[in-house]
Amino acid sequence: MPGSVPKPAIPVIEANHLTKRYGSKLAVHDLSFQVYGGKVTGFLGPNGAGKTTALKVILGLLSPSSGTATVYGQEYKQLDTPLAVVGAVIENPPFHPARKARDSLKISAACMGFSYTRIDEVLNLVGLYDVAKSRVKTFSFGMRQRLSLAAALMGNPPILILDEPANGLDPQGIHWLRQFLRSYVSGGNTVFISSHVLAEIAQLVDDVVVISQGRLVAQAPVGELLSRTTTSLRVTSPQIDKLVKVLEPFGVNIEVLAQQTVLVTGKDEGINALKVGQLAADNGIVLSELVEQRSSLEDVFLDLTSSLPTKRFSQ
Amino acid sequence: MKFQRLMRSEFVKFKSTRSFFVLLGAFLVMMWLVAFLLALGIAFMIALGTSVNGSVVAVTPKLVQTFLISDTFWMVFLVLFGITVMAGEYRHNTVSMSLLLVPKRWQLLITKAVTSFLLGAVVMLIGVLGSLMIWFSMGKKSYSTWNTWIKAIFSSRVGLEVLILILAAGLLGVIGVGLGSLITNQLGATVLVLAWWFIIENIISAIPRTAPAGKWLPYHAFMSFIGAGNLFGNSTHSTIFSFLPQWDGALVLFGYAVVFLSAGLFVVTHKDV
Repeated sequence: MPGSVPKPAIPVIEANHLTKRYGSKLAVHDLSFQVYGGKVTGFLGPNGAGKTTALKVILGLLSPSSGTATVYGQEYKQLDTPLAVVGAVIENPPFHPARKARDSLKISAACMGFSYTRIDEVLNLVGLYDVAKSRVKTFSFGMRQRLSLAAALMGNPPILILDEPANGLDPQGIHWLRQFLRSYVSGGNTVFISSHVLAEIAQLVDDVVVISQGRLVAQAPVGELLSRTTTSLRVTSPQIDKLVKVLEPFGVNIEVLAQQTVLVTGKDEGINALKVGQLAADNGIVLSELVEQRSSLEDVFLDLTSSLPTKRFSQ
Repeated sequence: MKFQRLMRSEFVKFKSTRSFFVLLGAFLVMMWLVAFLLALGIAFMIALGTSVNGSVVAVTPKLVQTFLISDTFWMVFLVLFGITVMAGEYRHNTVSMSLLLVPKRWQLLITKAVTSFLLGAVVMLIGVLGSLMIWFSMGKKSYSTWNTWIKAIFSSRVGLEVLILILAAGLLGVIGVGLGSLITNQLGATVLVLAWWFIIENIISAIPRTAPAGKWLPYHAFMSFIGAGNLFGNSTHSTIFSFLPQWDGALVLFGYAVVFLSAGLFVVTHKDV
C-alpha cells in the first residue's frame, strides 16, 4: 500500500564531500553529513577539528575547495532572505563595539524589512532588553553571545546554526540556553549546534555529528552513542592472580591498575559485579573491593575522536 | 534582496557609530577653515592695497570658482570615509554579520559604493554651501556688494563647478570603498592613501623621468576634473601643476572608480571571511 510506506526524512542541512584546504593544510576533508529537521543535532569535535570551518562553508563565509553544502537543497548564497531561513551565531560575536545593542539589530531589521518592534522582542527573549541602549563594548562576552543569538533570531528562522554558543555563558546562562533551544525545537525548528565539550550539550541533542581532524568519525542518534558505553569492574583482591585466571575464559579485558587491583571490562553484558562476586565465592577468592564503573558519553566521544575511521550508525 | 532595504541598512550602520560623523565632520571643519583663510587672505590683501591677478578684486564667477577649487585640499577625507565603510567591517569583524545578511557579496559592495557616493556628494554640498556662506559673510563688507556676490554664486560657471565637486566627491567615496575592499587593514589603507595624496603622487609628478605619468594618476585626475587646470594653468612642462583637460580628468577619475571598485568586487567575492 503506497500510503503506508514512511517517507524518508529529508535533510535540511547537508554537506557532501566537503573539503576546505588552506595551502597544504586540510581543515575539512571529504566531510559528508546530514542534519534533519525538528531536531537538535550536535556538531562535535575537539578544538581544531574543523567545526567552525565547516559551519562557515555552510553559511557561505568560506568557499569550499571542493564539495557542496546546502540548506534546504540550496547554497546559502542562493537564499533570497537568508536570515529568515537560517539564524547563525559564528565564533566571536560580530558587533561594532561602539554601536548600541539595539542599533546593531536595527541593521538586520532594516535589511530584512522588519519592524523595529521585532528588535525589542528578541532582546527581551535573550534577556538584554534592559541594556538595549548600551554600547556593545560595555558588554561581557556572555552578553555579546546573547546579542548574537538575538541577531540570529531576528528573522524567526526555522534553522539555527550555533557555533559554541555556550562559550562565555555562566551556568545559569547555559541552563537558559538549553531550555530555550529545547522549546525552539519543540515548535518543529532545527538546531545545529557545535561544541568541543560533549557534556555541555549531551542533555540537549538528539543526534550527533562527530568530526576529528576535519573528517567525519560518526553520525548517529545520541541514544545510539549511549548504547556504546561500557561497564567496567574495579576489583581488588589479595589473590588477584587466581581471580584473573578464573575470569580469562570469559573473554574479558583485564587491565592491571595496581599490585592487587585490576579493571575488568566485559566485551558484552555477560560479565557484571554479581557474576564476578559469584565466581570469586565459588573459587574461594577473597575480594576486598568490587566496584562497577560505567563509561560516560564523554568516553565514547574521546574514543571516537582519537580514532579516525568513520563510524556511521543508523539514522 | 531589495536594494532599498540594503541602502537603509547601510545608512543605519552609518548613523549608529560616531566614527563616520567624526570623519565627515573633520572634512567639513577643514573645508570651512580653508574657506575662512582664503577669505581672510583676500581681505588682508585688499587692506594692504594689493591687487589680485593684477587687477582690483572684484567678485566674479571665476573668483568664486577659484575659491571652490582651492577649497578641496582635504577631500582626501572622502576617500578615507569610503575606506572606513568597507575596511571598518573587517576591522570590527562585522563583515561576517553583513555577509550572513547579504550573502550575494556584490550586492553588499555595490550598496556600499552607492551609499558612499551619496554621502560624499551630500557632505560636499553641505561643505560648499558652508564655504560660500563664509565667503559671502566675510567678503560682502570688505570687497564687494550683496548683488555682485549673488550674481557670482548663481552664475552658470559656479553652478557647474558645484556640480562637478559633488560628482567628484561621490567618486572619491567610491574609490575609497574599492580601496577598503582591496586593503582590508583600515589603518594600513588610511596611511597609504594619505601618503599617496600628499606625498607620493607629487613626488612622481615632480621627478622628470616619471613626471609625464603624473597627470594620469588619481589625485591629478581628480584635480583636473574639478578644474585645477583653470586655476594653476595647464603647464606644458612636467611639474606637479600639469593637468589633463577637465573632461579627460573626469573620465580618468571615473575610470579609477570603476577599476578600484571592480578589483574590490573581485577580492570581496573571493575572499574567505
